Formats: sequence, structure tokens, C-alpha cells
Amino acid sequence: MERELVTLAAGGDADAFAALARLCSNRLFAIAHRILRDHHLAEDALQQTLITIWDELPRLRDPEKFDAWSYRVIVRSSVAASRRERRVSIVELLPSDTDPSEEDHVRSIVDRDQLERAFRVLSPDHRAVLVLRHFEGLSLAQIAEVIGVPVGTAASRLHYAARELRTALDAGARAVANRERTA
Amino acid sequence: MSERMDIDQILSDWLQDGAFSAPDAPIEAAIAHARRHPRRRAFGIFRRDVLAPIGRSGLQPAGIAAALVILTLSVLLIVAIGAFLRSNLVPIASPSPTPAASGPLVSPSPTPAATATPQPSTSSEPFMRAIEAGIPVPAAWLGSWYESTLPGFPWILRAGDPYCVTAMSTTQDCMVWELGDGSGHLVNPGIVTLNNGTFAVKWTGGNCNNATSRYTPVLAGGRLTLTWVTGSCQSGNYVFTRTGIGGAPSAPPQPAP
Repeated sequence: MERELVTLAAGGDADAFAALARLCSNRLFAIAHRILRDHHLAEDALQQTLITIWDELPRLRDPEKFDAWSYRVIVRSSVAASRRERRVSIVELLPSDTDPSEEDHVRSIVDRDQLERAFRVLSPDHRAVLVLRHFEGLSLAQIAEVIGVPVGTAASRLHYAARELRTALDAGARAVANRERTA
Repeated sequence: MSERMDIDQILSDWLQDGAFSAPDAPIEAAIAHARRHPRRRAFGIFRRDVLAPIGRSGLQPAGIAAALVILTLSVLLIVAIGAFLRSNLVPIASPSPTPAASGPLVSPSPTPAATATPQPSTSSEPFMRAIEAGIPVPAAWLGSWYESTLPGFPWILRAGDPYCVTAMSTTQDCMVWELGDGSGHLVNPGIVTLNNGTFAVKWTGGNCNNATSRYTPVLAGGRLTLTWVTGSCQSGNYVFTRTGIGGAPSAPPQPAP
């Protein structure tokens, strides 16, 4: 059904495009949201992606490749949106009362918070390959096709992204340990 | 190896957190764009495959050959049309003797439109954020406050303020906090409104992004007291004191977008 919608939309059928957009938006938005870590920017990226799909769809040779191509567009739109990320969007929660008996829960939040911070340190391109691999479950060959590079380059990029994330996590963990010692 | 597997597993688990459903607004905006911008059909044989590897044309060899043939024929056709038109035009001035024109001046027919690659749309409708319908906050709430527990300076700004429009992409009233440590760091931006006597805040960033919290407001004696009613974020009671009054420090300059 998707192939049929792609073919019709490529021919200029706006209703087919509308159906196609609704069909793929959840998948694309989820990817953008995880790359950008910001709902607002992810909405921008999704909108731009769908517009690009409408404008460029006639140039997709093989309708079967729509998924791979839509991944490429959402990644590019997300990278572009990340450059517009405003500094003011950094937000911290007000201190809230925490039940001391929920220490484990708090620690798991802190760990996830460290992971969030470490992930944000990565470049958008590195975030993208990690999301494609660990959220979408794409193979190296598929990732290579999405980002338009040889498989070896995709593997290398994924390797460096993971290494950078590990480095950022270690740095964050050391900072937390230092704060706890001096508290 | 086990450390790498741990990272992979942690990352996979962590990435399960997050949105799974797309909001309607960007989808509807794109559909509206499609209806307003019907595509002109591209001259297919010259289409660069959008999924071609980066830096390569993506054209197949047979396509390249066909493209060259068609290009050659197009050039010959244009030359022939040009020659035909020249032979039908009344010469205005010519150094060589020509037969006197007996017919009316023939205007050149419009040349066939050159095959144009459809221009990709560069427009992107501005995307504004909004909170539920309500009424603007009272004028007495606007401006800078001081909140001692953070501590910080909440600013409540009227709709149309450059900060609301540019930094938060909203045409409604908005609020943002400046940390009280002198860093100028901004936190907790939100779109605000008054709805059935309840002060509603739709947070627009961080972990509370798009969550809405509601408070019962009471303004008295230079203090705005917000008592939490509902909402999973910022579920506390807050007392805003007018800056510079009753021991509250003066606020830093209003945040700029």
C-alpha cells in the first residue's frame, strides 16, 4: 500500500501524499525527537521533511526505497534543525521534594540524566547514526544507504559516535563523583 | 567487548523513552503546502536519483545515453526552430539584399518553455506554539518577580513581546525564569494563560516539554502565590514577590530573544 501511495504522490496526487504523510509521520517524528531531544525542534524537522518529500518525490527512482530515502531526509532535516537550536531552550527543573526512600529511583533518574547530557554532547550526525542503529535497528548497510556513504564509513562513524558517547558518560560520572565527595 | 554491549543495551533502552506519536500540526502544514504547490512534472530522464550516494549522479548508464540523445535532439530542434523563425521575420536592417516583405510583421511565436527543473520549495510555514484557549493574564502580573526557593526571577511577558514571539514561537503570553545566581541562565520557559481562574503553564523545553501545569493564583500585597492544582511538572507551590519590594532583590534586565 505504501508503494502505491508513493507512486501516486510522486505523480502529483495530493490526497495520496496526505495518506502517505500520516502513515510515515510517527516513525519519522520518533527519530527526529530522539536525535534532537527537543519536541519543538522535532516538529520543525518533521514539517520540513514532509515538505521535502512532496517536492522531491518524483526524483525517487524506486518507490521501494521510500523508507530509506525518508530516513535520509529526516536525518538531514534534524541536523539542520539542530543548528537552529536556541540556547534558551536549556531548561532545568525547579528543585522538587524527593522522598528519601526513593533513592534508587532518584539514582536511575540521575543516570538517565547523565546519559541525556552525554548524548547532547554528540554532534547531530553522531546522534543520528546511534538513533538509526539502536532505536530503528537498521543494519550497517541500511545506515550507509540512508546517510549516503560506503558501509565502511558508516561503520566508522558509528564506532566514533559510540566512543564519543562513552567518553562523555565517563566525564559526567567523574563530575558527579566529585560533587558527591565535596557535598 | 562487554562494556560495549552494556553501552549498546543502555542506549537501546534509553532511546525507548521519548515520543512515538507525531503531532498533527506539522503534518497538516505539509499537506496544506502540497495542496498549494502542485508539482510540475520533472523531465524524468535527467532526474538525479534522490537516493544516490552522496557525490555521485545516480544516473544509470542507459539513462545517461538516453539523456545525451535527447539532449542532442533538443539542441537540433531549438536550432531548427530558430532558423524557421528567422526566416519568417521581416528584417529591420540587413547588409545584404533581401526581398521586400509583403506580409505583415510576424511576431515570433513563443519558444517552447525550456525544460525547467522544478524549484524546490524553500518556504517553511512559521510554526507557532500555543497553549489551550484562555484569557490573557492580568496586567498586574506582568513583569519581573522573585522566587526565593530556586532562587530566580520569573518574568511574565505579554503576548507579542519579542521574547514570546522569537524565543518561544508563541503569540500568547509567556513566562521565563532567570536564575538568581547572576549567570543570566534562562530556565523553565512556558506559554501561559488564565483559564477558568486557573493559571495554566505549558512548558516548552527540557524534560517538561509540552507538559501543562495548573495553579490557583492569588495576587495580594505585592505577592503572587501559585498553588499547584494539576500537572506532572513543577508540582509545587510558589510565591512570587515583586522585585525590589519587601526584601526581594531587583531583577536583571528582561531576557532578550
